[in-house]
Amino acid sequence: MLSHEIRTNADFPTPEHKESLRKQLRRLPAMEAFDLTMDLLESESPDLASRYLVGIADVFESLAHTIPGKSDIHTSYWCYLVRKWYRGDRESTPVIIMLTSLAQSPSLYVRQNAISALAKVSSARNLAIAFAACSDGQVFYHPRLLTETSMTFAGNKAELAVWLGAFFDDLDDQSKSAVINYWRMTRTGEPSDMLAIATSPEYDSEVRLAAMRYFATNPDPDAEPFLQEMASTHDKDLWEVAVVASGALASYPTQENAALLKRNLSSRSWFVRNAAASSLLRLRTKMDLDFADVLEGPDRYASEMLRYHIELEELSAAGGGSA
Amino acid sequence: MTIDVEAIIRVFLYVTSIFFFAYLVGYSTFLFLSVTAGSSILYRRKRETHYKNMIATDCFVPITLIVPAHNESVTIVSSIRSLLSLHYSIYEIVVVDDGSTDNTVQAILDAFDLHEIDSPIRLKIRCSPAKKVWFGRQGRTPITLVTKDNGGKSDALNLGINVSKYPYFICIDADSVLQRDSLHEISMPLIEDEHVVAVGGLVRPANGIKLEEGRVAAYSLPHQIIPAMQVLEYDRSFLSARILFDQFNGNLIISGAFGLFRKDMVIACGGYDTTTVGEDMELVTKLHVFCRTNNIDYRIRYAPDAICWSQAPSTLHDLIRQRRRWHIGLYECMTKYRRMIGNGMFGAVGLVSYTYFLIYELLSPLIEMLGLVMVLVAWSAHYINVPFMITFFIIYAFFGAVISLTAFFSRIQTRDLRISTSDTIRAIILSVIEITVLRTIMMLTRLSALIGYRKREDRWGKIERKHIDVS
Repeated sequence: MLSHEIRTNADFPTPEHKESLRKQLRRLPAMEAFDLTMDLLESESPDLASRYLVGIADVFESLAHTIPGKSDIHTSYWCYLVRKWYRGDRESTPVIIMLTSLAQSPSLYVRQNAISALAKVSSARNLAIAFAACSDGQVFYHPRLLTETSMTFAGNKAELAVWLGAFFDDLDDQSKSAVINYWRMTRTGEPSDMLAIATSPEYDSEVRLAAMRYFATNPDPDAEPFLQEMASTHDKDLWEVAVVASGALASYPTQENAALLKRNLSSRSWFVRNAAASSLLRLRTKMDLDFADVLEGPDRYASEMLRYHIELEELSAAGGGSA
Repeated sequence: MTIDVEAIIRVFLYVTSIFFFAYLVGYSTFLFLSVTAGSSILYRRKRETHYKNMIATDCFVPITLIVPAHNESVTIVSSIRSLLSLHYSIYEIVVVDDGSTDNTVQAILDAFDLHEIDSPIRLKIRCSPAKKVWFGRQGRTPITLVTKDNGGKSDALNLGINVSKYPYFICIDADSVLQRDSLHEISMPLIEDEHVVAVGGLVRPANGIKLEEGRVAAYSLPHQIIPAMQVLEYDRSFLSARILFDQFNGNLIISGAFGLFRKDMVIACGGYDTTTVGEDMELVTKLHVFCRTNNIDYRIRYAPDAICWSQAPSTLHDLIRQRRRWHIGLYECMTKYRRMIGNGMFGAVGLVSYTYFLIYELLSPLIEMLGLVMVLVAWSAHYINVPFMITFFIIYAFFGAVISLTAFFSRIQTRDLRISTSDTIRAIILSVIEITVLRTIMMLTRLSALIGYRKREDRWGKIERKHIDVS
C-alpha cells in the first residue's frame, strides 16, 4: 500500500522507496493515493511531511520525463501535484522545464495547472518565461487568468514585475494588458514606462487604456497633464479614453481637475458623465468641494448623475442597506 | 372507370409507412446519439474535475443577475436569498418588477433593506420606463429593485439590461434558485474561449429538493406525478440535445430560467423581442443570425454543470398552459427565422439544429397525430398486424424509457446525488408513463396550441407557485 510505504519512509526516504514511488506515480490512482496520504501527513506532522517532500524532490524530477505522451487529464493532475508537493529547486530542474513547456499545451487545463504550479514552485524569471510562451496565440489564455495567477506567485512579486517587464514586448496585446493590471494591483512597474505606453500609438488601444488605469491607483505627477488632455477630449470615438482618464483623475486632488470633471458631467456620453461623477465624489473625500453649482445648475443630466452618486455614497456611509 | 379504393389505401399506407419509418429511425438515432454523447461528456467532465482539471483560480468576469418578476411574492425572497449565497467574487442582482399586482415589491423591501434612489438609466434597448428604483447591499452584493408597468418578461429583461452595470448578464426566473457554484460554472466557458457570447445552464425541477447554503442537502423525485415525470423529461432534453448541439455550436435554445449573455452583443442585436412568448429561443436564434450575418466569430455554449433549480408545474392544467406557450414561442421563432432552415450560410445551425427543431419539435405533433390516424385507418382496413403493432409499441416505449432513465441516472451519478430505492422504482415506472401517456397528452396540447393562438391575449397565464426549501 502506497500510503503505508510513505509513512514508513517519511523520516528518511530510502532509494528503494523512491524507486517504488517512481514506478507507482506513473499511474493516476497512485498519484491520487499519494495526494491523499500527503494531505493526512501534512495535517498530522507538517515538519515530517516537509522533510519527506524535500527528500523525494528528485522523484518528481524523474517523473517529468514520463509526462510527454500522457493524456491531458494525467498531465494536468501531475502539474497539480507538483504545485502542491514539489519542494525542489526553483530554477532549471526537469520539473521547471517540463512545466514551462506545458504552458503551451493546447489544453487550457494543462496550461493553467502548469502555470499555477510555476507560480508556486519556480522563480520569477521562469514564470515570466512561461507567460511569454503561452502568449503564443495558439490557444486562448484569458488575460484575467494571467493576472490572477501572477497574484498567486509565491516569491517576490516585485521581482516578478521586473521580469514581466523584460518579456513585455514578447506578449500579445491581451497579455500585455494583463501584465499592466498586475503592475497596477501590486503597485509595481515604472510610472514612466506606463506613461510611455499610454502615449505611444504603437500599442493597442486596450493596452494604452490599461496603462492609463494604472495611474488611478498609482498616481504620478508626470502623467497628470496627459490624463487631463485625455479626459477633456470631445472626440466621440474616444469616449472610453475619456472615461478611463476621468476615473484616474480621482487620484489627483486639485481644483483644476475638479473643474475638469465638473465639465465632464455635461459630456454627451453617459459613461463619461458617470465616471466624472464617481471621481468627483472620491475627490471630495480628499479636498473641499462644493457641488451646488452643478446640483442647482441648468444641466439636468449633470445634476441627475451627480445626485445619484451622492445618494450612493450616503447609502454606503449609512451601512449600505444590509438586511 | 372504377376506382380501386383498396389499392389507393394500400399505396397511401405504404408511402406513409416509409415516411414514418424514416421519421422514427431518425428520431431514435438522434436520441441514442445524443444521450450517449451527453452521458460520455458528463462522465468525462466528472473525471476531469476529480483530477483537478479545472480553473481553480478565482478568475471571474463581473455579471449582473437579472430577475424579472411578476406576481412572485411566494418565491421571490427565497430566490434572491439563494442568489446572495453564490460562491462568486463580483456580481450584482437586479430585480425588475413587471407590474405585479400582489405584494412582490413589498416582500422584497421587507426582506432586504433597500432605499429608494433616483438612478439615471441609460436606455440602450427600448423598453418601458422605470417607475421607481431601490438600491441596497447585502454584504458585497449590490441589489437593485426596479418597478415598471406590466409589459411582459421581455420588456422587463430589457429594462434590466439597461440598468445593469456589468458586461455580462444572466437572466434568471424569479421562481428559480441557484447552487453555490452555478455562477462559477456558467462563466467558465467565457474563460475558456474569448468568442463565447452566450452560455446556457442546466435547468432541473426544484420540486422535491432541499438546498442548504447553496448545496443540495436532500434530493428526491417530487411526490406528485406530474413534476416527477418532468424531471425525467428535463434530464433527457438537457442531457441529450443540448450537449450534442453544443459540440458544433448549434444550440438554438438557452433556457429563459438560466442563461448568460454578453451584454454588448445582445444590445447590438436589439435585446429581447417583446412580441413573442418564446423570448429565450428568439434571442439565441437572433444571436446566431446576427453573428453569422456580420461574420463575427462566436460561440454559444452549454454548461452542463451550471445548475438552476426551477419550479415545474405541479398540475396537469398548469403544465398544459406552459407547454402551449412554449410551442407558440417555438412556432413564432421558427417562422420569424425561417430563412435559416437548411441554409448553408448558417452552418450546422441551419442545416442540422433548425431542421431538427422543425421536424422533431414544431411539426412533431402533426406528424404523430397523422401516425395515429394512419394506424386507425390501417386497422379499419384490416391492413394492420395487431400483435406486431403492440410489440412495436412496447419496444418503442421501452427504448424511450431506457433513454430517459440513462439521462436521469447519469445526472444522479455525475453530480453525486443520492436517491432512495423507492424513487428509483418510481423513476422506472414513471419513465414508461412519461414516454407514452404524458407524451401523448403533450402532443395533443401542442397540436391545439396554434389553433386560434392569435386570438388569445393572456398567453402567459398563471401558474401556481410553491415555496422553495432554501436555507
